[in-house]
Amino acid sequence: MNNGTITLEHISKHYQIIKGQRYGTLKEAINRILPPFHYRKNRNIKPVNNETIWALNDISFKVNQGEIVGLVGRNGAGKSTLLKVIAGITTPSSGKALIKGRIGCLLEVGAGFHPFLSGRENVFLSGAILGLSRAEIKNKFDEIVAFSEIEPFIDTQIKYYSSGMYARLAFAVAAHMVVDILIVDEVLSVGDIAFQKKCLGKIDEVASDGRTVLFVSHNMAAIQRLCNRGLLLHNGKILMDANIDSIVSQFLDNYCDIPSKRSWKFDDAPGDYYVKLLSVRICNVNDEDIQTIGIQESVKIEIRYHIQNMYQQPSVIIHFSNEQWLHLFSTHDFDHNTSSQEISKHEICKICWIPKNLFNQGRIYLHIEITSLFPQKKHVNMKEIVSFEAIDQRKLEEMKDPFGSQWPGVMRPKLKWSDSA
Amino acid sequence: MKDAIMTIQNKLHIREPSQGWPGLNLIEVWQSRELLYILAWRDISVRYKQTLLGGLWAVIQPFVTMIIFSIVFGKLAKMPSDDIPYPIFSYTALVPWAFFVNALNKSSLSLVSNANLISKVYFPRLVLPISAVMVGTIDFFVAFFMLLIMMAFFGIMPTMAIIFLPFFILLTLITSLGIGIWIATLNVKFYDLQNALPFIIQAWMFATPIAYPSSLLEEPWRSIYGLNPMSGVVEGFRWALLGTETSPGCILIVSFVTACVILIAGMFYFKRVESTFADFL
Repeated sequence: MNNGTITLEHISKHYQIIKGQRYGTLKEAINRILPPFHYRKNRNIKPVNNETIWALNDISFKVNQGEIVGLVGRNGAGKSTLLKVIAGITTPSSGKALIKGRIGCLLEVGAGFHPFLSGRENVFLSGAILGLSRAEIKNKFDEIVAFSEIEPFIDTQIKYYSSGMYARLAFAVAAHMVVDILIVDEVLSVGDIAFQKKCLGKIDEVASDGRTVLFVSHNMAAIQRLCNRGLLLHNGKILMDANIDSIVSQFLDNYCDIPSKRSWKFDDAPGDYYVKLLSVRICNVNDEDIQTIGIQESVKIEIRYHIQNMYQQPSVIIHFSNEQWLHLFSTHDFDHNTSSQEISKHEICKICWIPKNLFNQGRIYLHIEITSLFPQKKHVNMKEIVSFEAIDQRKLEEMKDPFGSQWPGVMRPKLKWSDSA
Repeated sequence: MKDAIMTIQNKLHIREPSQGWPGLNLIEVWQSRELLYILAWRDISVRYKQTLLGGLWAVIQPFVTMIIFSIVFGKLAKMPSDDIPYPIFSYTALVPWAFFVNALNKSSLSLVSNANLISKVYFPRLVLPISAVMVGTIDFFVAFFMLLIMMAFFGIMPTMAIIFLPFFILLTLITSLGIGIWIATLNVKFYDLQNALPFIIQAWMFATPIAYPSSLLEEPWRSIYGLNPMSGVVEGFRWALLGTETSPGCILIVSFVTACVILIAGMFYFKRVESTFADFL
């Protein structure tokens, strides 16, 4: 067995959720220890309704040395629990896992950092918690500080650090662990984009050294770039074990939190008496439903709604926001409305075109409102109703520009440049 | 040295459900001793960065208690003190007692306040309560130094029995660690303990011969009294330093055995429930 191999055999983990009762108090324990007394005293109380939640359900797989495996799944699919079992933080309820080699575990940036200590002291503290010896940290100290780019502040208490500086220092310590297996859970959402890129580069470097990496992220672009194999988790089970590209597309098409297409039957459609939203879908220029779209393509958003007893046509408003819930921009169809005319149709289909080269990479969420103006009334107000993933689909050879695929900023519109006459 | 590094790196980790009573795996704790020191050092240095009086608190706490005891028990209640000036009689007992109280308070919080670490990083969890107890050793030696000054002031020369003092310090450590581990573990599941701890400590103090001598009791009650390991500690300190006439003998053996049983049982219980900490916290 080589260093850096992980073998999981039928790993399961379940939690007991006790409904309607506080958990873990002395009173409860006494009630459990003394059931006869408990029942005698409270004869009318029904037995506690226990519910078992399977965080992991019969998981088996093997990771070989040097593989970079991305775990993909919705929130609550069991990704973090699986990493915790492998790292030894929590034990499985059944099954067995064999892990060969030294494990470096990066489930949280800055584990063990103390605000009252200086950056230098925290490097030693955090290093020790992550399992580095004092000698190892001493050897790598300069490298760590250089990587974190906070040299002038290394002797300042970290409570005075900005959150970016804090994250940079924390990641720098973790990135310099000498391990056979690196476990990384969604830690790249910290710092600015330039630093995120540096972190990804560091993980890439670790992986190219022949070390094994397990990687969890909701950033599909990062996962696709970094990993070569993927595992798709859903409700604690492994649905698919394949190369990363097919895993990502499978996930985005079927298991993503917010789909790119939604429709409702008339009776349960969102809306009020006057307006009902029937469907929203996102497609490309060829009218195909899509989950991911290249930044270099235009996006078509089709909204169908039903109106009745209306003497004016309501306005449709779309708000766009990104993964960080940052509101990017909004648009409405007011100028396009033919409000003076009598409305004869009951079902209306509106199409909004988003020009190419506008979004930056990442997930884009849509919030849709349908409003009439005189009098002002919101008929439909659906937050994060649909979403899609914007991805830079250029080939590597085409990315010769200064930013490559990682453009800074929340948007990346293509603007016109010219030379002065 | 190189071999040692290799064995760590080639280690095979097995993750399976814990069944029954697991081994203590003290080797793992020993391998994490650097982490233990650094966690203790963190707590010490953070405390001194926050406080105005810093190390003085180590003396103030037992010293002020000693003054109160001397007035209430020594002067007003005319408590016997084995023919030793009451202030030094009580202070000698208060030095190990302050260490014990400190260890209990610190270790009761050691797991709860590091919940973030426990749920995110793997390391031998036993390191947390041990380092919490160790934090008090500096305070202990500061307070002990004060005791030596007081002995000089009262003109008390220690007898030959002082060579046994390291043994009593060890007994203090074993007792504090044993009770500390129990409280730390139970506090994860039962937060109630947090509220009960001040009362427990108060009751325990009066159950320990700090304000009064254990010579008030007759045998065999005195030996049974040793079931409270802190009474063995306190009597031992007085005997080793002040040369109280009643050599502790039997009470000591009872205390020592009790303390060891508490510590070993505590560590086994800790190990047994250790794997559930990440789920509970």
